[in-house]
Parts: sequence; structure tokens; C-alpha cells
Amino acid sequence: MTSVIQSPGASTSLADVLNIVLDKGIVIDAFVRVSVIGIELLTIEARIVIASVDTYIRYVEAMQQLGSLPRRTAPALPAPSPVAVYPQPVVPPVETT
Amino acid sequence: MTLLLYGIVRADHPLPPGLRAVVAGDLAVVVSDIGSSAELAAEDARAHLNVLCGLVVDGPILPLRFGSMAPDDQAVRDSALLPNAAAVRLELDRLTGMVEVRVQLAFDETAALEALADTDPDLAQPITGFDAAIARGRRIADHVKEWSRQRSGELLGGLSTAMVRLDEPDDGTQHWALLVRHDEIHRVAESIAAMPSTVTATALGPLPPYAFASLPTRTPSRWGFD
Repeated sequence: MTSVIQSPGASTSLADVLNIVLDKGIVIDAFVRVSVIGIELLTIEARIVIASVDTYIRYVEAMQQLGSLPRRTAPALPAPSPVAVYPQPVVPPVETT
Repeated sequence: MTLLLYGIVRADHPLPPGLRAVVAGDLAVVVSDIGSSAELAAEDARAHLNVLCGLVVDGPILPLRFGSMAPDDQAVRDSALLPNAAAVRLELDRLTGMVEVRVQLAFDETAALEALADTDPDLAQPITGFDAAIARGRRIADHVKEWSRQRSGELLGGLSTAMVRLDEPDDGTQHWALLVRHDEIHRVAESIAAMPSTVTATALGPLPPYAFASLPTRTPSRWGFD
């Protein structure tokens, strides 16, 4: 049986690695810190904003369905993506009936 | 010759090939010699993390910021070990036997939204206009966050010695770092596996204690000496 705690290693996404490592850890002022090339942080941040807007719309539509339908038959939310990492997958908007 | 720095350990910490220790007394900094190349790429971050993850299972390590470099051994001793020795020893003692586990929790938010629709029915009314919808969505997201934060505390509270909330993206997921005993990581895994089906948990570990290791910041003397 595999543990539910994944060991860090080759299967860890680069996004997860950067999330753990970048700008973390003890800083000792005397040491030079070289910049890391090839990391498009701006792209990552832009995707987070898009994902936020997407989530807002999803919430609003889900709430409106809750408001317009008798309680207990309220539709379930679309399942959130199991692993929320950067960059985030684009979730298609909820279909309203 | 330039040294790439990984973390501070006890002087007797076992090291894998390719790495060496710059020792001062009972403390050491794990380094690798990288010649003169002073550029790092994203994949080097993976190598850096792999090194630290390999080290933390053999004993406590205080991870240094990725990309820290020093010109030679003496600079490492003078800056990392000698001025901070007492604080470093305390941190290493505190973190002995401990590892970090990162947990992401994604909730089925239906219950949170239903509760919100009851307490604030206006949020469920029809709305027109993109800006208004975004503003309302943000309000709902704030409520969902609060609810998720509370649920996370309930689910994770008993699992660890210490826990830190790392990140709270707008999609309602919660990211936490737990400080757990390395020999109890299986118990933590069992607890995560036993969480209710309305929460999807993913966990990564054992990691070096990034969220828990710190040294007191020293205010540099204006005159360049202490």
C-alpha cells in the first residue's frame, strides 16, 4: 500500500518544488544570492488571477442555483480539482439550466 | 571556486557523495563546489530540494535559502556558523527527529454554500454585470475561505507539534505545513487517509522544516562590526 503522504522526488511537479524552495529558507545576509533564471513567476501569478475569477463565477452560479431551487435538491458543486497547484488547470464554468 | 550552500547541520551529520561539510566546532554547513558558474535554473531547485530531503531523514537541518553562495570555507564559517552558533544549536535541538509535511485540503464546499445561502439569502439572488458578479464571488470566496480554514483546523489540529497555514488560494483549497515527528509520519498518513470523503487531501513529505526553522535576524552594526 502506498502512503497518502507522497515522498518528494522525481514525481513532484516543478511547480510544487518551486513553491517549496523559492524565497524560503534561512537568509544569511553575508551570502550572495544568485537569481534563478528560467522561472516565469509572472506567468504563474497571472494564472492564479485567472483561476480566482473562475472560482468567483463558479461560486456565484452555484449560489444562484441554491437560491432558485428547493433546498435538499440543490445540485452538488462540481468537484474541486483534487490537487490545487500552480499553474492551475482551467475549470470549465458551471452550466446553468 | 564558489560554494553553493544547502543547510546547517550538526558536524557529525552523514553526507551523500558530491557534498561536503564546512565544519566549525559541532556545527557544519552542507555545501557543494560549483566552480565559477553563478547561474541557477529551475531544475537546480529540484536538485536543491532533493539534497535537503535526503539530509533531513538523517537528522535536523536548517535549510538555507536556495541560491545562497559563498566564496570560500572561511566565509561560510564566519557568516553562518560562528555568529549564530548558540541559536543554531537551539534550533537543531528543537527540530531533532522532526520533519515537515505539507498538506493541501480541498473541500466539497456545498455545505459551506448552503449555510451561507441561509444566513445571507441576498447572495443567492440573480445578479447582472461582470463586475458585480466578481465582487459577489469574492465575498462568497471570503466566506468559503473562513469556513475552510475552520474545517482545516479541526481536521489537522491533533496531527502535529506545530502547524502553519502557508497559502490560501481563492479556489477554497487550504495549504498547511505540519511539523511532525519523523517516526510518527505513518500515523499522520493514516489520519489523513481517514479524513471524511467531503475533503480531498494530498500530502507531501518528509520535507526539511522550511516553515519552522528560523534564526534571529541580527541587526548589522552601522559601523560594520558588532
